[in-house]
Parts: sequence; structure tokens; C-alpha cells
Amino acid sequence: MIGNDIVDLALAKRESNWRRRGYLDKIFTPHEQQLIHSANDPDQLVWLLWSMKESAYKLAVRRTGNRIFAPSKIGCHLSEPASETVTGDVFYHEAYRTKSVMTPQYISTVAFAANAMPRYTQVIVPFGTTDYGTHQYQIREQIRQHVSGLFDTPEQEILISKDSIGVPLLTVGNSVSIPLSISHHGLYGAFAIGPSLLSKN
Amino acid sequence: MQTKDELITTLKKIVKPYVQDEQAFEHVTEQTDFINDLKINSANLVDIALDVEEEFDIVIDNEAMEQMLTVGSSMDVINKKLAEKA
Repeated sequence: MIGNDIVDLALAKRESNWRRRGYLDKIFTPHEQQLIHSANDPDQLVWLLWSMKESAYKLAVRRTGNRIFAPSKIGCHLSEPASETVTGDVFYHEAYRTKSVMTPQYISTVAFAANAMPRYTQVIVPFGTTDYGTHQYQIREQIRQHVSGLFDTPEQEILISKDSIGVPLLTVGNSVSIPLSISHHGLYGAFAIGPSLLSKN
Repeated sequence: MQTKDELITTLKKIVKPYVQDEQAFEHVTEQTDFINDLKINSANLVDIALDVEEEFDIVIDNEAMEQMLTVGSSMDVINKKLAEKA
């Protein structure tokens, strides 16, 4: 199982004022706040840590079915100084590992179980519009195209649905299910897919 | 103390700037989910908690914020915190 997240840095800057009083305390542990305050680029660190938390949270929801949103209880450690790619350790009831890619435009992160091999593919989908409905449509188109190529299967046989708590499900034909996580923010979308699993039926 | 309808109206006013699905916003009920229905960005859930604190002059601790995923659960949190204050 995997979880992913993408942050459009320009939109984050416009829409989320993390310097607002009380904001950091609601999301970040004292250790993380210290990292933010001592960073050369505090904005970058805020959104890096956020995307680590968010991707681990999504993974935790998939594993437990519990949607409780408690960002300050998700503890992040960076294994190396923040650079273009960053590996992190995230603890939220269980140990997760994250891999993040940072560009001047966006930060994207994929989370996976710390004891699992990080076998996943992540694709970034830049959008030409800010319309949410269009984003949802375009990203699903891209997923179908990608998986169609991967499995040499017609796109009509690739189904993307959601379960009762909003977790996306990807199935190919009737026999294969693939872990999928989708994120979009501002002008960027991203999807991550894990190794395929043979479904039980 | 606000009535239930007044509380929903105040909450809608707070949530409005963060909503991405305007159609769902027109049909808000207590069951409406901020993320799954209104497509609110999860980083903005924190802004909603902060806005609620300012609007009602209450403190939303992190345990309370954890529950604020739907309109109804947010109303419960606000009522509980207002009752504690009174």
C-alpha cells in the first residue's frame, strides 16, 4: 500500500499562511517546528514536512480505515538535509518511510511501510487549468493510459473507483487490483501506483 | 447560544473560502464531509479550526480538531467547547 501527496508551492504560498498564530502548533511537533525555524528556506520545509505527513496519513487511512485527522501526532524525521530528493522517516502508530521530490514549483511525496521495498511509480501531471473537475478527469485519463500500457490492456478494462471512505481503487480486468494514491493541488496532480496484487476473487 | 440553523450558517461562512466543490456546498447538510464532499484541501482544515477559534472565542485543541471532518462533527465540537466555556 502507498500514499502520496503533492503541494503546489505557488498556491500554498497564496492560500495557506503558516505564519498565522497557532497554525504551526496545530500541525507540527516541537522537533519539526525547530527544523522549520532553523531552515534556510522555512516555506520549503513547512511544505516538505506537510507532504510527508499527508502521504503517511493517507497510507494510515488505507491500513486502518480510520480517518481521524491528527497531523501533530504524525512525527517526521529527515534522514538527510533537504535537497532535491529527500528520504524521511514518519511515525504514526506504525513506522513509514517517505521519498520526496522538491522542485521550485512543487513538492511531491510517496509514503510506504518502513519494512517494505519501495516499489512504486509516481507520475506528475501538470494541469493547464485550475478547475477541480477537469483535474479529476485529466488525472484519471492519465492513470488509465499509464496502466493500459503497463498491462497491455484496453483502457475500458481499467476501472478507477472509490470505497466508502474515499480511498481510490484501481482494478485491471476482473483479476488484478493495484494500490493507487491520487493527489492534486493547484496546477499539479500526481498519482502513485504500487506493485499489482492478484485480487482474492 | 446559536440555534442549530444559525450555527450551520456561521460554519458555512467560515468554510466557504476553502471549498472547491461549489455544487456540493449548495447542498450542505450535517453529514457533509469537508474533504470527500467539499474537496477542501487538508491543509485548510487547520485554517478552519483557527477560524472557528476566532469566531467563537474558543480553543480547539488538537484532540478536538481531529474530529472536525464533517459539518456535524464540527458543530458538536463547537457546542462542547462553548458549553465548557459557559
